[in-house]
Amino acid sequence: MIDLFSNMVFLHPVLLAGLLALPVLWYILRVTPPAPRSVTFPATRFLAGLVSEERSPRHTPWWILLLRLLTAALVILALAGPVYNPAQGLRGSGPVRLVMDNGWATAQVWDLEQKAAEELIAQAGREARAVYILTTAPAQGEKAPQAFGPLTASQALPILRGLTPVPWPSDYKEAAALAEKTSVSGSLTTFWFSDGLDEGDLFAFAKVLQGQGTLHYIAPPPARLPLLLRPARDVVDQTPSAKKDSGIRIAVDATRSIPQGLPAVVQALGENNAVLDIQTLTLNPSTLPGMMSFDLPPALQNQLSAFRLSGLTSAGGILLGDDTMCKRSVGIAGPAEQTETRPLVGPAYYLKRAMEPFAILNVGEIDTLLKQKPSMIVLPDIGAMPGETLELLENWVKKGGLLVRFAGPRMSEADGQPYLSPVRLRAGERSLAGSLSWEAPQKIAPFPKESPFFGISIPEDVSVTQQVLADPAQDLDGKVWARLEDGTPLITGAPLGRGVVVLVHTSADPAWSDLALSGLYVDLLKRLTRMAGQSGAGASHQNYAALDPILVLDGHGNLEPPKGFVHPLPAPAAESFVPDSTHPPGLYGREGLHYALNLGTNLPHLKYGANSLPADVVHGVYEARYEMDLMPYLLCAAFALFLLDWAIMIALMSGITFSLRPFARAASVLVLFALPHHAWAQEAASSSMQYSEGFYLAYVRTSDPALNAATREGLEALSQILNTRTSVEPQGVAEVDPEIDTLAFFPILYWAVDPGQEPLSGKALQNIQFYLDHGGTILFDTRDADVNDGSGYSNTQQAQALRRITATLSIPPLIPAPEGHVLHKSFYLLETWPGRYDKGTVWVEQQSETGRDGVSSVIIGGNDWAGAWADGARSGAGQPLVGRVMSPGTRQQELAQRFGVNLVMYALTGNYKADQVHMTEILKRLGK
Amino acid sequence: MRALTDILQLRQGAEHAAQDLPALSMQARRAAQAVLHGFHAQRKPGMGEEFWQFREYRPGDRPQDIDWRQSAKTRDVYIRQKEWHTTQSCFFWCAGGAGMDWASARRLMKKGDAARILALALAILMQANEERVGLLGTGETGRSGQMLDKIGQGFLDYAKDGRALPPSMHLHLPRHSSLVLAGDFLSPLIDIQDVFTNLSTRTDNVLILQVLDPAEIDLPYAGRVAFFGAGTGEKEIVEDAASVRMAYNTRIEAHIGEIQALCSKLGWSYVLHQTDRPLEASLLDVRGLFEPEKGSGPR
Repeated sequence: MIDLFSNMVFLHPVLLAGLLALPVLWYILRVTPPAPRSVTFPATRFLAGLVSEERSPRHTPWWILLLRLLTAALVILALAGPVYNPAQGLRGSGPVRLVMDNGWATAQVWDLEQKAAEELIAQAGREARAVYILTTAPAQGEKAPQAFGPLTASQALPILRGLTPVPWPSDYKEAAALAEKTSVSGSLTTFWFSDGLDEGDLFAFAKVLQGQGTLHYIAPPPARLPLLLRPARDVVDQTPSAKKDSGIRIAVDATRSIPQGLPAVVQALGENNAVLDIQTLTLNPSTLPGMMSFDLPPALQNQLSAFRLSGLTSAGGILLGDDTMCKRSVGIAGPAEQTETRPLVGPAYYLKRAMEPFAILNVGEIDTLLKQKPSMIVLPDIGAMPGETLELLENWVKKGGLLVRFAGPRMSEADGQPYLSPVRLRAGERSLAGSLSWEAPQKIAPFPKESPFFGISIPEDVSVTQQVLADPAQDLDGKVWARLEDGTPLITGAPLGRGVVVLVHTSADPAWSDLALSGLYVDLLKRLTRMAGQSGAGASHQNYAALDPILVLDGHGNLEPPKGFVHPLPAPAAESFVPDSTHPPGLYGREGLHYALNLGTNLPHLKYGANSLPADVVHGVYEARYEMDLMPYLLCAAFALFLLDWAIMIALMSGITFSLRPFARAASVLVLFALPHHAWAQEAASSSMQYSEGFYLAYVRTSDPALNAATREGLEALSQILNTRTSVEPQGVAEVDPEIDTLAFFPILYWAVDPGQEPLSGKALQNIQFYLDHGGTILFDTRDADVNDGSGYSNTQQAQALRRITATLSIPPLIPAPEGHVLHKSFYLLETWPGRYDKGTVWVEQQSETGRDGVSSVIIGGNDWAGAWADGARSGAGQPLVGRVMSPGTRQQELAQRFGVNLVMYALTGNYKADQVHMTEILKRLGK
Repeated sequence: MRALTDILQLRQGAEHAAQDLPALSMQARRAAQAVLHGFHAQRKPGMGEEFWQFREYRPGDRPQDIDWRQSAKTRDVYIRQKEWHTTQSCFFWCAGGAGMDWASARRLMKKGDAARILALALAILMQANEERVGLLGTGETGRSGQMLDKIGQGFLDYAKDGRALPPSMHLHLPRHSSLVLAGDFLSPLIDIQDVFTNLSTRTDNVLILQVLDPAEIDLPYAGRVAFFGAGTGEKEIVEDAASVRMAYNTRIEAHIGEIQALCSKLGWSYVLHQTDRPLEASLLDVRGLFEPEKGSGPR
């Protein structure tokens, strides 16, 4: 608090005298009675002449008084112009020059820089001093930085706000030349809002500025000094530890003036800036640059598009990935369709399977492949090729392509020396385990140190049975990348032009070796593919004179399409190019070839700017505290209080009594609304669980409550019958709604078809289909056997409703239940299956699907069995309750009940009764 | 149409208020005065239609009433009370005006509504007991439901004409008929005295049903309040309503006391209904007034 007030200053302190008037206001408000509240009162007559006992008028309530005094005090305070954290006056006199660093590093401190500069311009405006602005980095497409001035403060402010950091380094040389041109009579006080870096010629520039007057150098605090992401060139770690094998290493660089233990968080970004990985590094001035390694799975690594310093929006905080990071395109020569239609046959299939995860594959004829400009082409067992193709292929390799060849019968049997081979080959092949060979299959020897495959572990079980042999030559040893245990070369490689030709001396499929079946195969191809990325991309872009911009970074590190000022990147110099005003960092290249121009790649070592300044420069640091005008806030507060006072007055005059009761009521209503839903959900869940504990007869709820009630009554009667007559003991009757309930608990669903059945929702249909597909049985009762002829073509309302239900269900073909169907004999032997009606046809599945134990998933009939069961219960049949008037049910009701028993037995036991019927016959025969 | 629904609502409210009560019999507390009665049909057999009962002559009875024949049979002097004497007609009146159409809080019933419902409830109870009921000023009485509707309509008309006190001159009021007057009776005491005195010459069987809002007794206001009389143009600004509460309360109590004193002087009944009380409670009070005392009543 003390700090708050000590930092507050009033611009017009005289007005604070107005606070002295507050006691007067207090007195006036106190003696002025509040406006009377008007009340209609029939007994007013009796009040006539009654004098209040208090002599003085009743006071305004103290809290209203306080409210009003507070309002008045706030207004007075606001008018006095309070300023929090007032800026000190400008040093010196005469015009002011702002040197705005706007190179790549400023984006990380741009907020500080901009605020400080605005502050300064505001002060200059108050002191009516002219303002000059000088930037240090050229704007887009310009050669030199910009200079503005002399300006008034109001002119300078929009110019200042229009400045943005650019993604290339500052050019202090050009800036110094510009500064020299500024001719001012007298001294020019210069404030240099810097990014804290010395990007060359800083000293000279500072000297020039100093020559024209005093120089204040304002740098970011040490913890905000700029950070830079640099690529670590050795993408493939050559150390033997296999773990570091696939890690992508990047470096975080900074000046040596950063504080100890500055954290840096680096994100690996995929497509659409999805964060693939995050790593944190602690930077120490002694161990710069800090290294980190991203060990991403291949699938993720292929998506990698950039690294980003988290929280620092700057071109220097972005390291774009290019072909060296992304999936390489690899061409495999061979019939494309073969890999699809004939798996496990032919080398192309194996190659494709192995390389799919980390490369973009194209299978096809060599000519076609070459047109797609892949970075690597694999030729599995190709002996001869047309001369033109060979020439094209050779040119492609010479331009930087990586050609990988696999041996095979066709290659070894080709006439003459195969072209495009790293070594001369002997004709024919060497068979190590053939029928005419005494040699055992050879294992692979560990990879030599100089081999690109060094570090890959070799599985024990890989052996080579056939290979092509290299002709011993002087330079053979240097070309061998892998050997068999007997010393014969297995993989040889040699550069050709800018490219490389690699030959694997055995086949790409398992014909000649187990190599294609082992993980080693994948590892080798992965290494080769990465090599293609390095050598291929690095070499192949040299083929172009210039690389066109594809996407470029702006000063804040956002990728955007290139604008007109971006020039193509001269290809030969691309490797050592430092981004400038016409070549911002970004992605350059052409179709199939991406080169990432990153700031970090070639920027010289970062130096702390303040260290290279001349002696008598005034140093400063951006401060986080800035002047804040409190007047608007105070006025807002006063206005809010005034509104509050007003509202209270209205409330008092209208005689509103404040009561919490309506709110409480509203709250309770809300609670009431909120509660049942919750309770209902719980109930639903618990009721479902309950069904899992026993056997329940279930029926589907229809929109007709009367029908529901009738069905329930029928099923309750049936469960009573089951309890008394069979060992099936239903726990009760459940009503289910396929929309919300789980049907899985019920072996059989009774569905009384409601003529007004609405089409079911997709969810309900899915639920029902799932139920039917997983062993459930539904009995559809259309209850229309009196009018339905049972032909399946009848058009009663119920039949139409049934069609609406089943239209989108997948139900096997149905037939009228044949004689001898299990339903006839699953418990009782029944000739017919009457319900309330006795003539309806019952339809069942023609052939029950396997796994259903012969139980039809759907049974359709129209005899209204539930009704008959309910009737039977009402007449007392089947309910041997003591004291109940027993009136025997009709024969038809009894048969309906028996059908119910059969139905449940059928659903529960399946078709075993179908076999059982023959048992007597079998026993009879056995007896004989 | 509107008026009809109003009547129906009023009637409904009154029926509701009356339904829970056992039949209210306007029995005479004193046979001689024959204020109210209700036992026509329950007399012993042999009693004539005209004849009600013989009763010993008491001082104050009119000499004309003495049944000389009966008196000659015994030593005592009897008076003969005739049916026509005891046949009661009860007339109803209800105060209207803006003063009645008021309630101090939304949850309270308006004074006018309470008065009308109470009065009509009484009428219903009496009608159920075969009394003749009617609207003051018309002279017309009846026992039908139609008459109840007429009374309800009359009440609503009263509410519009806005009279705070009943008419007392040139009334068609049969002698010995009963009168039920409902209102707030907040008019100046002199006016009330005039009216009551005038009415007392016509009948001595009157029930004054004073209906007041609790706020009119307690004055539950505080602070600076401007009071406006309902429809009278009166205006009183009170600097601190809370501080005059005691004085006001004394005044209004005195006013009520005066009315009660006047009623007891005239031999009238008086019931005070506050609108924060249930209607049924006040209705029970009224019934209590007419309940025969134990051991008294006709023999």
